Amino acid sequence: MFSTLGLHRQKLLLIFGLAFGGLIGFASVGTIKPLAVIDWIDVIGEGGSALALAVWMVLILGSRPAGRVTDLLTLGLGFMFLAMWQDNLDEFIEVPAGIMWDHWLESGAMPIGVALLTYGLIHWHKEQLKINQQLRKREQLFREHRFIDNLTQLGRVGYLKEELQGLLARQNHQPMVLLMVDIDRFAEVNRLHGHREGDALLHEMSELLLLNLRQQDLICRYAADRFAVLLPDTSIERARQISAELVLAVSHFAYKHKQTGATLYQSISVGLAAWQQDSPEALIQRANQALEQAKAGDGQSEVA
Amino acid sequence: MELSYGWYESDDKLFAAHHQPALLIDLLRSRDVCSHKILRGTGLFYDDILKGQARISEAQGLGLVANANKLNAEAELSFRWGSSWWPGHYGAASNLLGNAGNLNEALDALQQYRSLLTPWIIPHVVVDDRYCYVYWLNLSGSGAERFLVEAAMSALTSYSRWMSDSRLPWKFGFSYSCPSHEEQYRVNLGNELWFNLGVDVMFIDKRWLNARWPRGSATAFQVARAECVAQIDFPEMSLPEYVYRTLLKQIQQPFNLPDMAEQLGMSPATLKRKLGKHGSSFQRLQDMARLQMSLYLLHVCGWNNEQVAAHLNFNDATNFRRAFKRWAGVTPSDSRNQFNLFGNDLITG
Repeated sequence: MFSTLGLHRQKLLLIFGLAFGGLIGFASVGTIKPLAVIDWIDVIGEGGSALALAVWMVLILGSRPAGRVTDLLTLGLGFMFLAMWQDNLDEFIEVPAGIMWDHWLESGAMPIGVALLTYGLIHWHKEQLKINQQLRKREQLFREHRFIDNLTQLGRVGYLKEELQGLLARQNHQPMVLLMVDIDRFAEVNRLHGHREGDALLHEMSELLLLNLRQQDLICRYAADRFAVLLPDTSIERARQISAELVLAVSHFAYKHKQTGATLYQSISVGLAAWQQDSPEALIQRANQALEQAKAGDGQSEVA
Repeated sequence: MELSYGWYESDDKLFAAHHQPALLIDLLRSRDVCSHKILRGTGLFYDDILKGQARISEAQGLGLVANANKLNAEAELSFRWGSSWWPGHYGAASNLLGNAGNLNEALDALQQYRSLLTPWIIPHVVVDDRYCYVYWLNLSGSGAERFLVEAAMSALTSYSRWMSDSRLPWKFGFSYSCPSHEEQYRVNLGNELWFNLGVDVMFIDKRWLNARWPRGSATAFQVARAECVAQIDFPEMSLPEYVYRTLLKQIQQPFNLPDMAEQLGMSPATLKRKLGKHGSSFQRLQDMARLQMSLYLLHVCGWNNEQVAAHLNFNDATNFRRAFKRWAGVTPSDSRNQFNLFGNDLITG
């Protein structure tokens, strides 16, 4: 989970080193307050905020690769944490009136932190737009990480249903086609070459299908070796053409066995269903039926 | 391991850890689940499993399945696991399955060597004049009953498809309601699914029993059978299965825990404790046996509630109806309507 934390050791050392230094500095010049005069509401409020800021910082570092945006976000949160931390130390330790550096630390760290965080967030926004561009075809209207399939990194059937619901709710009556794509005799790959080989094939097949789709299309993993492809604003003729292109692309796909390097050729069957102003479930069901018909044919890839 | 009786118990270490348990562990590991999470609470060590010598008990096996069920973020794991069960690499019993000439021979082999081939869930095959039914029984409690049903049905579907080189027209009924991952059922099993049936059963027109399988070999099958007889020295069933089969055989006699204990040569307290270790109880097994028999009499033999009630020693039909509702979750008439629905469908479809 936090495998990326190691990349940020220096930043973490800086922030927590400063926090620790503040504590030592306070303790060496100040005197500890008696328990009776400590304002516990302040302690909980400021201490809790400091703790939350530290947790946010670790979460961000734990989930991001190193880079400029990560540095800005961490330093921003880090300085805010320092300010809250110093504020909280005040509650426990009485500092002689002549000493000013604790004020600078407390009041100076916060604006610096806020400025850094804001600047970082602006860049994060720009970065996110670039990433969204890369993720098109995998996600369209919304993002929900719980729906992502670990194996292929595509959305699962839950994502497809939500997406369909979203599209249908817009009521714009554009033609829309759903494809169901199934790898022929996939069970034999698992049986003859092991499930790791099957997993690898599924992963590469999903990449191949992605490459052969348009920018506005969406591909999800339906179940097992079945993929669902949503073609918005597409006529049935165009959808047939795209299906034929997918079939052709897969027939030229020379998958290499991971251990032996042998080539395993694959073929797919495709079922099409055009949206007829009905529910997502009905559309999915019709596409599945079309796929069953295609598979019941001569076993060759065919478009129903 | 010395077993003096005709059954094994929850703690008897009989099952090779490098068979189905290792398949499950490997599937989870390939999905980045670490092995200590998979083995938590089972008392098993990954290194022992790798050595290929370890024997595990039913309790450990079911513990492993329950862990897998919890770690199963993606609903396909059970189906994937099941589809790799058979023929498998379990020595002579796998040779037998791998050379079966038709479904009939395969189901015989599966039942005869079931403690090797399907140690965690029990197939019970019934053939009437129209259909062959394979009931899948969770006689020991695991907390992962649905996971096991999915795996077992996927196993038989995938194995029969491989051997026959075609999709056999299996139909599927489940004791539970339709799960949210229904699409896994449709893609991995088939489109003919019924839920809330009271039992977990897959069935097929009986003419498929004797249709020849291209991968089968009569000679190899005979050799494998002889090997099985010579090599496999393994108790055929678990204690709950023994009790269940005894109850089913003597379903018409009033039979209680002390009677059963006496027949097995142990005290009632011992029997109760031993069944408890399997996560089961005498009452649960009796309920399952009676439900199984009632469904057969109601749906296959076409009896009415009064006849079934009399056959099973109920005072009257009302008592029977109440008991049936408790076992199956639906009343006998609801169950009949459901089955009629599916009976008609069978005829037309």
